[in-house]
Amino acid sequence: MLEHNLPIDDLVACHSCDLLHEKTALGTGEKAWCSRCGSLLYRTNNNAIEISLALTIASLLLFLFAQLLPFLSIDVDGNKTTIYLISTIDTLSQLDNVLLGIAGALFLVIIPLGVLLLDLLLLSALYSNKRPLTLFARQLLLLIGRLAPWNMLEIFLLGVLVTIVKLASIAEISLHQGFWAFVALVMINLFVSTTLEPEELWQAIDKH
Amino acid sequence: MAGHRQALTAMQAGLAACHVCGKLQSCRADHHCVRCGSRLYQRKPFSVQRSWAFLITALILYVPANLYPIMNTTSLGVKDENTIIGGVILLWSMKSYPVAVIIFTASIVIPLLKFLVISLLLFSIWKGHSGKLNQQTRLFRIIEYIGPWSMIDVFVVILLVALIQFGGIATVLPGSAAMAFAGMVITTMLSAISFDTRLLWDNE
Repeated sequence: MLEHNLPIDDLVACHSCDLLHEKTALGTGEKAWCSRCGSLLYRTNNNAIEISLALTIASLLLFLFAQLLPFLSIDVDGNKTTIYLISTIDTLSQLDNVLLGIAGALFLVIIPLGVLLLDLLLLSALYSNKRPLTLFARQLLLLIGRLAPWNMLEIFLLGVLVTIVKLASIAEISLHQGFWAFVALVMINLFVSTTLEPEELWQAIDKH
Repeated sequence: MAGHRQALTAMQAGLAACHVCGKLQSCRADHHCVRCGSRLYQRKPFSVQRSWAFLITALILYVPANLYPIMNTTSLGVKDENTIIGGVILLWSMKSYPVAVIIFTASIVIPLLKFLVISLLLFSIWKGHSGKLNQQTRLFRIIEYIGPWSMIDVFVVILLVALIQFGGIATVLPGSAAMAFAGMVITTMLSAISFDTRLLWDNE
């Protein structure tokens, strides 16, 4: 075993290649990269928690709008039907293909809504500085981390766009409020995921 | 830039960065992370075996996903079965080039690329190759990021099924390839999650 002569808290290990680096203080928006493999080591962002909390509340509202307001309507030779996002789950559950219904419910509603609600709980607890939260907050953050790779809203949006193009040849499509709420939701989600670093949340929990 | 004076990995220093929360700490056997309580490992346990197992499962699922129809359409009594590649060809013939390219890339190219890259990296760990580790790491990060985008076609099927039921004139039903395809994407993602890039660098 080789010796390192610095305290552990002054060191950071690259998550891609495991090389140890001495931490240096960064200015707002700056990033530290691994000197061996070039992966991102860490970054800082002042009041990331505050901004993320505000955006999470906005996302929850947009999520409700996207699900409950008219999403789009298709018009085939004067036969007009309006679709709600939430009703896709209902339709799928009426088919024989139970697995596809479950996959749809998981990827379109349960996982994205779950992550948003967990984010809201965690961020508001950290923001309001309530005392007895550490254990609870740790569990929340662990769960958020596990769910994150399966949150595919932006991919679903591309799926919506492809579907619209496919249908455009046989029907007249018009987009409604639900669709635009969904677009805004995806944009905000992408922004939050680039602003908020899990390490920052762990450090915030540690400080309590 | 964070400086490093001696080229030393956490493992060589007897430390471990927690795989879940990233906290650096000294590592003993049977230890749990001081910050998040997860089991502490210096390398992901059975990383190579798990990666291979999920990748092979995905490869097996890739066959029915491409051979069987991903959706069955009935339009004015005429039944039609659409495979993934059939859908791409249809879109191309309808001059929807951008969408044809998107579906082709997401459904055919990305999964193949994932199979290729992950198995190459696993071979590289096995053989102890240590060349071009920067590129290998970057390649893995790219593959990890683009992997879930393969789900597009599954979402399109879900949407079409839901939309066309209301239409009345035509119906769309999910085909047997839809679940095989979704399963293929999920298992390649699990394969990537199980993969530990640190193992590449341990060969250096």
